[in-house]
Amino acid sequence: MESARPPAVLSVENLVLKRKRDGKVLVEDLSFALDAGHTLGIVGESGSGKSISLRSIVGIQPSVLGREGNVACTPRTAMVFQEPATALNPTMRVGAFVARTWRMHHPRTTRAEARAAAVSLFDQVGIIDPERRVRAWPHELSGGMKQRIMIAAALATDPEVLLCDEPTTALDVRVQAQILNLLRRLVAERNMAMVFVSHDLAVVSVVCEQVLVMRNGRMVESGPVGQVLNNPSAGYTRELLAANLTRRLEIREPRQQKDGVG
Amino acid sequence: MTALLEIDHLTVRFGHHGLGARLLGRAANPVVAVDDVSLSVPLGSALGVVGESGSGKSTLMRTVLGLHQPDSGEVRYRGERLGVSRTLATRRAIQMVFQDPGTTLNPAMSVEQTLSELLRVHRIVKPEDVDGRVGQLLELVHLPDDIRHSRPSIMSGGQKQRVAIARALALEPELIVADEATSALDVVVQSNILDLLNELRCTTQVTLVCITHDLDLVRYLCDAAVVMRHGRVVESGSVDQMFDSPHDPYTRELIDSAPKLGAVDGTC
Amino acid sequence: MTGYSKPGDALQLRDGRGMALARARSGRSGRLKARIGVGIVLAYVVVAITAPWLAPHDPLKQDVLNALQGSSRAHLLGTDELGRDELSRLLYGARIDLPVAALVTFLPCLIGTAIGVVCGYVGGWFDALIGRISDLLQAFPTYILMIVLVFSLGPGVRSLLIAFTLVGWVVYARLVRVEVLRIRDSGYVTAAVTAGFRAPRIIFRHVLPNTIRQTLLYLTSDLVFAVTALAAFSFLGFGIQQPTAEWGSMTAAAQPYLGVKASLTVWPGIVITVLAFGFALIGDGLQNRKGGR
Repeated sequence: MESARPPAVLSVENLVLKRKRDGKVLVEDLSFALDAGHTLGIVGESGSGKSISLRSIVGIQPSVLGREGNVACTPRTAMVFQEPATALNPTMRVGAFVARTWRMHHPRTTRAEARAAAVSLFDQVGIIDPERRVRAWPHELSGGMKQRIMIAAALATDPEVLLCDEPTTALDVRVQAQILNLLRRLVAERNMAMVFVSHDLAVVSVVCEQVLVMRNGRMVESGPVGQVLNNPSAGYTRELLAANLTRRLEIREPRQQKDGVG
Repeated sequence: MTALLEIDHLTVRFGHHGLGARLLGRAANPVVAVDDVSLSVPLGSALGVVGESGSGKSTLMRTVLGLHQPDSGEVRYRGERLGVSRTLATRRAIQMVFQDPGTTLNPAMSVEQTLSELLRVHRIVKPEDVDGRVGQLLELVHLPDDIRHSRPSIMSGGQKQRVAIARALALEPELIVADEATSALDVVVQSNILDLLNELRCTTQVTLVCITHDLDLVRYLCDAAVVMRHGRVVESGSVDQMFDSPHDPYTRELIDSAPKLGAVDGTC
Repeated sequence: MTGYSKPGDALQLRDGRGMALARARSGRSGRLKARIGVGIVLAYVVVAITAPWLAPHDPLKQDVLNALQGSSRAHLLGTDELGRDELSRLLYGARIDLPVAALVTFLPCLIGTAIGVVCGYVGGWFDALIGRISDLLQAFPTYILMIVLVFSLGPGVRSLLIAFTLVGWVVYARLVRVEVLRIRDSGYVTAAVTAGFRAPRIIFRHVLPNTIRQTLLYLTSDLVFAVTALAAFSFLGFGIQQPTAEWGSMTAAAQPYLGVKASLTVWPGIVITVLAFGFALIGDGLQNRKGGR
C-alpha cells in the first residue's frame, strides 16, 4: 500500500507509575504506540501493572499513584471494564444510560435523536430486538448482554481508541467468544485502535495483532503475536507459554491407557 | 472397574416452598439446579465436570458432599447411600478444595492451627504426632515448613490453595473434589497446582473430580468427563473420545468457543 | 485478579505476597489514635480504682456552711451546692459511670451477638421472628423508648440496664447476622462442615472470631453513646440518684447554681466528654487499621 502512514492515535513513552506515599515504583518505563485500526494486547499476571497502566492512559489510575512520562492519547478514547455486573447503574434503564452517554458527546441533539442512536448502537453490538431491550433494567440481563451494552456505551462516544480491561474475564466461554468476535468486527468497521489487557495469552492472540508482555511493572517483550508466541525472546514469555495448558497438551505424548495411576 | 462414587438420578431444586414457608423466610423462585443426573466415578480415576455458570456442576458436587439435600435420587459411596447427615468416617472420605483462595482459609487461624485442628478432632494421629504430620502434609504440597506459623493474610493465592489442598489431604480422603480450584490463580501458579494434583494422584492414590469451565484443564488432568448444561448431563465419556469426536452440539460449541493460542492471521 | 472477580472489588493493588499496597488511610495514624484513646480510657480506669486513695475528701460529706466555694487549697475545684468537695465527687464518679457504661454496653452486645449468630447460622423461623421483632423495636425512637422503660421501671442501675439491653441488642444482632451470613458460605466454614465439625466448634472457632472485628468497631461507638446517655438519664432524673456522686446527676444538681458557680456544671461535662472522646479515638484508630484491604 502506498498511502501515507497515519499518525499514532495513542502513544505512551516511558510511563512510570509511582506510589505517592513512599515513591515505590509499580510500573517502570513502559512505551508503546498504536495507529488507527491496529490492536495491541497487554498480557501479564496479577501484579504486573497491566491494569493500572491502561487506566493511567486516561488518567484514572488509583489516586495513590502518580504518573510520569509522556502519554499522548486522542481525547476520543473509550474504555470497557471487566465487571459488567457492577458497571451499570441499577436505577437506570440500559437504553437511557447509552442515550445519555451519546447525547453528552453529541451536543445540541434532542432526546429523541439520542434514543434512536441508542437503538442503533444496540443493533451494532449485536443485540437482537434492540427497541425492546433499550427499556430493560440491568438486573434483568445476562453478563454477556451487559458487556455488549457497555461496549455500546463506549461506541456512543465515537472513539478512535478503545481500551479494554479484561472485558471477557468474567464471562462464560461461549459468551466470551461472541464478545471477542464483536470487538474484532468493530475494530475493523470503525478503524479504531484497541488496547486489550488480559491475563490470558490465548484471548489476546485471538483479538490482537501485537502483544506486549508485562511482568512486575516492566515490559518484558513485545511484537507481533505470531512472533511472540512462536519465537519468544524473553524467558518469562517462555515460562508463560510453557505453563499454558494448550501448549502442554500439544507437546505431551499421546495419552496412555489410564489404569488408576497418574 | 469398581465405582467409588455413584450418582443415581439426582435432582436438586432450590426454593420451591409454599406460602407458609415463604412467610417464615424461605426463598420463593424455584430453580432446578441439578436435573436427573446419573454418573459414576471409578476408583483411582480423574473425572472432569464441565459446564458454564448455572450448569449445576457445583451444586451437583456440593450435594455429594452433603451440603445440599437432594429432592430425588441417590448418592452412593462404595455402594452405600449418602445423605446429608453422615458419620465422621464418611465425611473423611470425601473432601473439597474451593475456588476462592481469599476465603478458603480461616483468617483467624495459622496454617498449623487449621491443619492440626482437623488432625486432632478426627484423631488421625496421636496428639504427640500432630506436629510431625502437619510437616508431612506441608511437604506433600511442596510448601516450606515455616509457613505453618503464617496466617492467610500474608500468603499468596497459590500458597493458600496449596494449604487448602493440604487441608483436604489431612483427613486422608479417598475422593477429592476440586471446585474451580485454579480459576482464580495466575497461569504459571495454576499449572503448578495442576501438576501437584496430578502428582498427588500417584502418591496418595486419591480419586479426583475436577469441576471446571476450562476444557484444556479437563483434557490435561482428567481421564473422563461429563458436560453439564442447565442441570443436565449432555455428554459423558473418556476425555480423548469427547474431544476428538464430541456427540453433542453444545460440547462442540464449547470446544470451538475456547480461544486457541495462535496468531490472528492464522499463522501458528 | 485473574479469572475471578467479586462484585465491588475495586482495583486492588497487591504485591507478590498479596498484601494491599494502597490503603485508604495510613495505618500509622490509626495506631496512634488507638493508643491515645486507650491511654485516656486506662487513665479513667485507674482513677476509678484508686479514687478512695486519690480523693482528698469523702464525696458524700456535706458541709452546707461552705457550699459553692471557689477553689482553695483544701478544695482544688471548690465545693458543690451542699459543700461537698467537687474534685472528690468527680473522681468517685468514675466508679459509677465507668462500670455502668461498660455493663450497659456489653450486656446488649453479648445478647445481641448470640441472637445474631443463631439468626445468621441457623436462619429459618427464628431469623424471621427476630427480624420482625427488631423491625418493631427500631421503629421507636431510641431515647423515647428507653425513657419510657426507665420511667416505668423506677430509678436505679437495674432499670437502666434493662432499658439499654432491651433496646440495644438489635444493632448487634443485625450486625452479627450480616457478618455470619457472609462468612457462612466461605470456603473455610464449608470446609469445617465437610470435615464433620459440629456447630459449636464451627461457631466459636471459625465464625465468631471473624465477626469480632465489626462488633468491636461498633462497640466503641456504643460506649460513647452509653457514657453520654447515662449522663443524660441521670441529668433527667432517671437512673442513678443523688447523693451518689455521678457525673450526670452532678450536672443536673448544679443547674440552679449556674449564675453563682458555673464550673459545677462544666467539670462533669468535660470529664464525660473526654471519656467519650477516648472511646471514639479507639474506634477511629481500629477503623483505620481495618479499613482498606
